[in-house]
Amino acid sequence: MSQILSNGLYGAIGVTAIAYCLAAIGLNIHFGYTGLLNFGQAGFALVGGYAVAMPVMNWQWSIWATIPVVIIASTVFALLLGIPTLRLRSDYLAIVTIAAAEILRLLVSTPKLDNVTGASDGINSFTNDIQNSIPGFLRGRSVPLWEKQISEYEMWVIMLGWFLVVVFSLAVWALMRSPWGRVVRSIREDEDAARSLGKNVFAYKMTSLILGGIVGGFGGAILVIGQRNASPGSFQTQFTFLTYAIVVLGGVGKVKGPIIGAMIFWFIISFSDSLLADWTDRTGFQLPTWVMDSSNFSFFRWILVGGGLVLLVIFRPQGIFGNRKEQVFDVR
Amino acid sequence: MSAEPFADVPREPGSAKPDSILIADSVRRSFGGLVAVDVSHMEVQRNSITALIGPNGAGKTTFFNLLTGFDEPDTGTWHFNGHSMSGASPYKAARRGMVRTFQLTKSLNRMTVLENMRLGATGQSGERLWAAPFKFLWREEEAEITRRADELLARFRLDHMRDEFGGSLSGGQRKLLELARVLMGKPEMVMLDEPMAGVNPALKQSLLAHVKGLKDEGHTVLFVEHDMDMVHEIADWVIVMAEGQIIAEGPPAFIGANQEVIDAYLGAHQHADLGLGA
Amino acid sequence: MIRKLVRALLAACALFALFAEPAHADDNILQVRVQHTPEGGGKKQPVEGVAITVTDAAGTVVGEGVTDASGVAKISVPAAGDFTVTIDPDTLPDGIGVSDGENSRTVKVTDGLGGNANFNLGAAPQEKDSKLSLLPRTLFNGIRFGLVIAIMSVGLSLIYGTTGLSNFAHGETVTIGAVMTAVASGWFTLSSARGGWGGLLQLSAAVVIGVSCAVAFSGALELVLWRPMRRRGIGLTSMMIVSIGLAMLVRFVIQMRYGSQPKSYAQFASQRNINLGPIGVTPRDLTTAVIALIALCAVAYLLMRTRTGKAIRAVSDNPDLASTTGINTERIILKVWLLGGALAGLGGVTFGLDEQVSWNMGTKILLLMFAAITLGGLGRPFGALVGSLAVGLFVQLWAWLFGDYTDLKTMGALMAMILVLLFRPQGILGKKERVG
Repeated sequence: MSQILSNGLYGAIGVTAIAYCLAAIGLNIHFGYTGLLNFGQAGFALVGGYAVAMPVMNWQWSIWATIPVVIIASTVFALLLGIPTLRLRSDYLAIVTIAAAEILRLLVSTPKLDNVTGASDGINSFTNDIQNSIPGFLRGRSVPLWEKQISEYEMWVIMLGWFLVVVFSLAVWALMRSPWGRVVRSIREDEDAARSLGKNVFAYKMTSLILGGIVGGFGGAILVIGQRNASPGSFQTQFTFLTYAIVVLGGVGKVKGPIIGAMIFWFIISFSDSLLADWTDRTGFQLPTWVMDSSNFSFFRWILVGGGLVLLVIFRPQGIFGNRKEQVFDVR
Repeated sequence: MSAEPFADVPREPGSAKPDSILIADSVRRSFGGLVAVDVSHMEVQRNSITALIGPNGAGKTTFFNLLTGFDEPDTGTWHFNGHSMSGASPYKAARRGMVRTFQLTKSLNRMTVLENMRLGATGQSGERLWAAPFKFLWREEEAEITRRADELLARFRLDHMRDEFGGSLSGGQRKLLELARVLMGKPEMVMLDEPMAGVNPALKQSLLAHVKGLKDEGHTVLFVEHDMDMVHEIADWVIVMAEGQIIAEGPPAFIGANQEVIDAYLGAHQHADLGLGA
Repeated sequence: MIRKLVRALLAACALFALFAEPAHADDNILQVRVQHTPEGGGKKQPVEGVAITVTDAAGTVVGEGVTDASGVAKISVPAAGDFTVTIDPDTLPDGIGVSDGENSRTVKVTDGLGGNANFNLGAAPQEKDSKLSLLPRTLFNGIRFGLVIAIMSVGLSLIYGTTGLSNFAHGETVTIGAVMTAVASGWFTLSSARGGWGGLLQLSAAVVIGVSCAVAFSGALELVLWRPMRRRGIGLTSMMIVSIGLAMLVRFVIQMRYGSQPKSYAQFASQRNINLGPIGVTPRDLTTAVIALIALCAVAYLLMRTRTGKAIRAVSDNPDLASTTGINTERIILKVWLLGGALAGLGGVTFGLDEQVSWNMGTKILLLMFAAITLGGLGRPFGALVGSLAVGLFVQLWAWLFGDYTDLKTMGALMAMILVLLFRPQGILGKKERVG
């Protein structure tokens, strides 16, 4: 059991949790604070991830030099998405953003562009700079997390990742308590009211899209660095749906929401994965095979996520940190 | 209800006013085959209270939306303080000084009353992205805005609801909030879309007093209404629309006796008292 | 048709050249050799019987020939100079092909020395048929695919129109229809009656079972989930997110129970082509097209002529107004969900006939469905039809035009949707929003 628990813990603070946390911070800006139905967050993460991997693989850049590339690429994608769609009704926005993210994923998967993108296998050896930059106190040891051992590389990425989480969360907090944040939240409530009070709604929406997109881009960057692989399979529509689940779980429009949401979410997933693996591996306690067996237990997590999301929205839409009064997260 | 500026104004549709703050020309809007608005000329006198009335479907709200940028006309131009406003988006119109309210009040439910009020202020540099993260840059402006907000809330007797969410206000309180919020931006012209709709009689008097007070402070008021008591009590000048066109203009008493207006409301050749007699 | 024309033209030219210009004894000789490397490598082999045309710089045909057993044709040209040598691909034997642009060469003929042109051909390219001749089949497939999508998206559009909900679980309704049909068809194990009419009967029974399951699923959701949510005042965005969670839940339950392997219906294994004019189609293709057409006509009739249909359209347009005229909106909404479920299930069956039945087939097509109804105009069922046909045609035409890029055909359809929305934000048949 302690093995299973430590797997859960590892999931909660690991690279995947961090990546989704960043994506959720970005989505929280879009949806939580501004009310934008952005269903293409997977696209921003993909852009960020490939913005790191491609320059290193194709043009031998230093990985640190790709930081501005992540920012620029995410901004460009946000502009491409936003300029035509932010004037559309929100239903249209949802579908267009999913489509845009899918288009990106297809582009990056196609064998025709294999040279530049690595197609479905993706790009691999681009993380040497990170490896080389591991600080002295981490070198040569693996960090124990209860019963789990974390390699030096991974620990370094985890530290970098959480640093980003803290920085971006502080930025969001500072922005959202400011008058700028007030305008953004008013747009979520009622765009026309904001307009009638002299606020340039389109500009605010666009800015919000860009900011949330940049954070999402860094989420993708951490993911590919942590996994040492950038491939389209990591950025399917499912990515966006899971990010929504995390945002709702943590509490829509709350600064701490994405952090705690991501940690709890991935704890539960990793824990249940580990538990079910144990219950289907023919040792100790066993589930009857008609319920589940070793070949299909890994799919149970999606049943958990899907069912959990349904129950969450119906019974506790404000998530963990939300306020009952500010509860229902849409005004339609 | 001073009538001096209007003493020599002809009582005809589209008549010129001595000091017009808003002038509209050839404004036309059609939906499919239906012509909703067809106003050849309209002028609104500065620092007056002008009423825009007419039967349902006359095009009043559509005309309102056009003037404030919430809808696009087929053709037409209009000028506010000499600046051309045609094609201006709603937020630009608001910034110029033409601020409007809505028939269905738009109080921001998940923000507090105080935040609603602060939102109404213009020129808060903290609303710009670059300044936003640095509180010291906008702290003082915010304090000033909060002070003004509290003043207005007191005047409108909403100060006790200061920290309540907009969503928990009653219908009448929302009306007051919307009016107070509009004043935060110090607009030149306040455009009210059916301010009395759904308001209980007790609150009506209070609202009327507030609207009258606006004129004393130098604002211009243009309001759309069905409530003839209000029009009778506070309007300096009345513009009547029917089927998209302006069919009559004049002081309230004149309008009340005008046959064309009566016909427009009740169908041809009726004799009726619209309650506008002095 | 076009091939025949070209051949006739060439023959006429040959005749003309033969009789128009008498050959000169000491003309320059242009030697043309056509060879090919067989698939899998090996020595080059001569190609016999290939028609050669030689044209001069002005484009006039100056000589013809046919390659002999050693793959050589010697053609006289009237003078020295530059000539274009063209081989007629239609005269190439089966299995050997040449792509456009590679079937002609420019050759210099010098006085007394003549000239040489060598054609080394590889294996035949994928499409030995000319692009143009594949067009009718592509169009047919496009329309057929579009009809299949249409069945499914009309349901989605009706649901959106009457309730405002973008139902992300619609794909799973499709899958349920297909999967339950497959499961049911497996129950009918009278192997002696697999093919022919017996098989058809079994499959029909399975289809009825499968579609009923989809209907039940859809109706149950409305009663247990959507209606109570509406009653509690839960907003549309929340319901949409619930539908996403639901979709995930159902999808993986199906995954776990049904397995990951795609399967076909037991009774419709392999097919021979029937010829329908210039198109060869399988009975399966024909069946799906016909089923789709019948279903859509039935829906159109329902919407236009029956009371229920008119009520549905009224609720789509303006629910409050509709209820004031005495229409029981809640009952209509239930009927829409049932209808949507039936259409989705039927769509799943036809889609399963098209491709195979797998646990995520609905999810794969969901995005195309949304693209179709958005393209056609959100909330308009006929818009859904138009949009679906557009998407179907687009996907097939993309594959036809850009044979090398078939994996991107979905992308093409999605980009088309975005482009249309740019210029016509309400979709093709959508109504422009009125402000205020």
